[in-house]
Amino acid sequence: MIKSDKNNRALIGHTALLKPTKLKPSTKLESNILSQLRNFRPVKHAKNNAPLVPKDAIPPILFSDNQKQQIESLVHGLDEKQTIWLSGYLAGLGLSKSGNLPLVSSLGNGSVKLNGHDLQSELTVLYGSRTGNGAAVAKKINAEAIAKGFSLKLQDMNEYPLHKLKDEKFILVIVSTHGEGVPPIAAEEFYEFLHGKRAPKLGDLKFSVLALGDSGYLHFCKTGKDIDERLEALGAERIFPRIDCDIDFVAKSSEWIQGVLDKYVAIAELKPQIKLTSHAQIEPAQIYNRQNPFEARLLEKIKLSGRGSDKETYQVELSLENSGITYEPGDALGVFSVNPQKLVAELIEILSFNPDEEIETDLPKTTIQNALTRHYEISLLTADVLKNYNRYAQSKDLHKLLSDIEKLKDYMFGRDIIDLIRDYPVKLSPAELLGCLKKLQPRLYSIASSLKAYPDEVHLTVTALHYTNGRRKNGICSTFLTDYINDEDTVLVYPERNPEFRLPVNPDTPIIMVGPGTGVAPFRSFLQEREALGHKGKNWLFLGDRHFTTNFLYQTELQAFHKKGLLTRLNVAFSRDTEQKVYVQHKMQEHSRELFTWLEEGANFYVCGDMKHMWHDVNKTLLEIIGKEGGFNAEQSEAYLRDLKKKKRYLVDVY
Amino acid sequence: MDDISQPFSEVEIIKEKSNYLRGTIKEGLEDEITGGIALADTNLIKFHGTYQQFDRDLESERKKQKLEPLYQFLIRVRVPGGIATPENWLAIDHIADQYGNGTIKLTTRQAFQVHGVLKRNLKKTIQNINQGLLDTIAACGDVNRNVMCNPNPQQSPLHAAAYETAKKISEHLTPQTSAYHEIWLDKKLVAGGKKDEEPIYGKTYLPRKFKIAIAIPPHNDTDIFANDLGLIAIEEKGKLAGFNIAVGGGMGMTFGINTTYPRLATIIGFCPVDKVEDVAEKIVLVQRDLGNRSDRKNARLKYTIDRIGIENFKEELYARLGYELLEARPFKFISNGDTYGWVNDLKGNDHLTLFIEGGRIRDYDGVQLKTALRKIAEIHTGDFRLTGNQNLIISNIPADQKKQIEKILSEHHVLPNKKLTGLRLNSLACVALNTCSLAFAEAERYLPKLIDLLDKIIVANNLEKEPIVVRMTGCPNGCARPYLGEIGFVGKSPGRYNLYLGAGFSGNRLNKLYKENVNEEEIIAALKPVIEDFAKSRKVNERLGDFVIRQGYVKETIEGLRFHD
Repeated sequence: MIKSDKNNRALIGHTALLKPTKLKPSTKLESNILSQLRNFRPVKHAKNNAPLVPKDAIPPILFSDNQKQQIESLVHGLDEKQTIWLSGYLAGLGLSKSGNLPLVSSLGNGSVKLNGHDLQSELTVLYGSRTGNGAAVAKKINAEAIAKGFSLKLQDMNEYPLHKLKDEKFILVIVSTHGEGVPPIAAEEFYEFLHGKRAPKLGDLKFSVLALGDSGYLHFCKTGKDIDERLEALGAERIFPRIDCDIDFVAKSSEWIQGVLDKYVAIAELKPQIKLTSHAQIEPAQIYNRQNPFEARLLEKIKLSGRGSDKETYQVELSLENSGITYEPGDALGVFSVNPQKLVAELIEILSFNPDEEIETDLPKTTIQNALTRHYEISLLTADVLKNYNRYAQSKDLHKLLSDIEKLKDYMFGRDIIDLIRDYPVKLSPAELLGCLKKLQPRLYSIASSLKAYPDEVHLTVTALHYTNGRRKNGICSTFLTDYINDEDTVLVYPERNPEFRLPVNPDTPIIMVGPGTGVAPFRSFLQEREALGHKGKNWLFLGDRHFTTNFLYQTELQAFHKKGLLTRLNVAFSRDTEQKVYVQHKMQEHSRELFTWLEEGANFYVCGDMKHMWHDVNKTLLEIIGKEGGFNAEQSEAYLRDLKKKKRYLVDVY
Repeated sequence: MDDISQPFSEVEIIKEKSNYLRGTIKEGLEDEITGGIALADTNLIKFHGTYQQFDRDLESERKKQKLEPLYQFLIRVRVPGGIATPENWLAIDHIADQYGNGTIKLTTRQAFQVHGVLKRNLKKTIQNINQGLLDTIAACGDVNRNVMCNPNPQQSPLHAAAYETAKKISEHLTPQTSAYHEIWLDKKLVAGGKKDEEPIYGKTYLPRKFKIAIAIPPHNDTDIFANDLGLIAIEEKGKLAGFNIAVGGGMGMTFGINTTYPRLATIIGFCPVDKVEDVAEKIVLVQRDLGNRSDRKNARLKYTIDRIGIENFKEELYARLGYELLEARPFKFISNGDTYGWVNDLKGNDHLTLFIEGGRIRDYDGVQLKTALRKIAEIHTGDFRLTGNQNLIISNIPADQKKQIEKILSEHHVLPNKKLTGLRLNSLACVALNTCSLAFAEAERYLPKLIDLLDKIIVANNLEKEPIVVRMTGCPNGCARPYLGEIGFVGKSPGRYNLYLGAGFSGNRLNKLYKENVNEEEIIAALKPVIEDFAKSRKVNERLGDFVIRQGYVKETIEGLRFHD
């Protein structure tokens, strides 16, 4: 069944089929621009887009294949009592995730702790300050806690995964105030998160705040005061009153440390009540797919490219809350774009349409304005569109152009429907115009997040494409995501499976990932997933872009993975920083011995990104490395590589 | 006072373990995933003459973008006595364009600074500086820094002798480690060659930075009282007889910690020329052994002296010298500023002192200062002299070249100078934002604008020609010697400063806090009545710094320990 999806993706050997003519680069300039599209790819009409058919009672909509296997192996061999207990446990877990019930039991180290409490995991000290005073107090509180017989978690706010806040039980916040009453840089994101629209309900949270400051400034300890108030407003319970410290913070912070720890010990010793329901109500979920896309709310748009960059790359974060949509690392997200208002208005104006005129097509009745905005492609030209159009225009020139493929490609490149109408004017009715146009197609983007790290969210990595040919043009979908949607906007999306681009099933299998530009997207998802699952296999990422200072996508996240040891190796290539251009394949060459050793150890090799140049070069280099380090001739190297492909250890997602 | 028996500070441990300043600098330079180096190494590279910084204007923005801070390096180039050749100048000019941010900063201690060098260019830059016959070793770090010396050859026949002393002391106190040559210049250690040794400093170097300056009375343009060791040249029968020795000066302090304070150096005696190197070395040794190594905020020589007492300090020094200093000789300082414009010396050479606002050499607002100086360096046969007040002297111009140099300057709109007030001409500002990691507020980027506003008051009160020493720093550490400003501004938070008044015009008295945490509007409101009163009620030739004490605006600061009173 899975095979049906295979044709949808640009896989080795199938790629040629998958490029619609309109995107085939025909000139050098065009191919340059197309190579910038990177993570942008058109959807092929899928013959079979049906969901996977269930093999048994596990509903296919809710679980991926992988998860189904896990569930099956989990329940296998359980006796009746165990099964009943587990069902209650899972129901309780589900409710607590939805915010309806405090999570009173947890699975840790393979053992279930039903009674009692885990002193170690429940108290988190979050500190954020510029000078290191915050860290010093945090260390002190840790020492005091150890003296009292338990340990706690120290967490620099700067590195705190904000989505974890809703699962916290007890937090102690130590935060300073900077300059004129603003949070120190380390606390900025936490502060904004608490005060922003993503702030969770914190009814289960207990907390206390220690504010550091300098009474010589106006707004003394303002950040601490704000956080203290805000946590309460979000429903959290203050277990010990906030203390504000001046420059000499030692005495007052000690007072606070004693106070909060005594209070914590007193509260934690109360045996938590276990409320597990034996069954839970699960709403039947809707199925979202290409035919029925989900309206996802934009959570945030983050510009990943630094100031001064000659191209703009964004991370687009969408909410999947209440959709039931799940995805696996390696999957893509289909996105329906909307044409820019300006372009639609211009088109309506040159054809003197009444924007509110209702028209009948195969779609539900709607206005011409809406049809042009949401349902028809107006920013790209194809040969079909030109042919259809010339039925009305009856232009000899256009007819001639249509018979010369090279000239036709040149003409279509960078031109849109407005250019066509201006170049070959003819009076058209709204219905006639729509008859010429193609339907707007969704675009697929590799997903850059893991649901395990960001529940209910999906992240995309998108480079905006701006170019000029006559009038200023934009890549339709990329700029739709990067330029046109804002704040409370929604985007129509659906998940697109990519079962041929998956993490190894074996948690110990090493992986080598090559993902320059936005090709890094699925690997961010891979790394998040492997971290969440605790997979021990080594991970090696090659990435590249133009400039180190402005185009190092996800730099701080990857550095953090590297520091933790999750990302065993990270090699980066920046092509425009040096006289000699350096690309990912050069970095592979630099480490060829090590790379071959990894392959011999059973590593999977993944490539994601530009097909035309990058993949070609990476593939060639890989062959060279295999030959050089393995002592093979060309034929043997080819065979080695073929074998990797056959064993699904060489996996490619290029476009 | 402070307890120095506490455990050593982290930096001491880093130095100890660094294998004579190597640490993991080499590995850090090769780490391709970050533009920075390891935290411990950031302490060590200072000894090599460079600071890791980042663009603070972009800090918050880049964090959101999942990009690390825009790390970049400041490189400080040592110029003993402040004398640079035209070749040196051209090298620095080229390096600033090629690897830096296209500007050169003249520091308050007669050094060049190049800002904005990225890690991948750091080694090449330091190599180029060395090829330009300058170096950066010990330009920063817990060692003796660039030795300052009065750079005005025409002002004193003693200059050459004093300059020789500066160079000698500087060389004598330069670290001996081969780490610098090994890391930056790819010099391999000779096989089986001698091991590193630091006969003066030892493995952990000094507890804190150490600064030496020489002044030739009546000019105190090197602000010798702000130095750990100040040497006052004493003339006898037209020759350099020796130096009065002043110890324990220093500017830095920390807000809110009153056990830190600026202090002026104490004169403890006189030594003849031939002993001065020995005296300097032994003072360094006393500080090496008795300085506080547990708390860097209390580690400068000034705190060592105030902790053990000046008499005990002298005793310790004499024990190491094996002789005593002689009684200090009389001298007189009249100012700590520079004199601008053309001067002709006895040999017939010309010298031109240019006012460089904020010490920044760049092309801006139609004034092509950097270009003009490059063109001059291409034809100049004399030298360039950096003053302790961030200014520049084009020195030793033969009479027949004066016209040509004037022409270049006027073609690039550097001369004739706009009419500048005595306030602006006596202003100093440190770098501060956006690159200095210590800064709480703007300094170099803001002071010119603040002076625009103050100038209106100055002009309205006919004080255009009155030299008034004004100094601004972005933090209390004191790079632009703000506590020696008749008007001093020390940054507290963006847009807010502590305002100090009442320093001595010749760098002979510290100022005192007048208004705390004031913004621009409050600064103007505070200073306007003072300046008006000064114009109206001053005595003949009375300086603003003296006037504000006589009129009771602030109390006189008699010694560093009473700065906070």
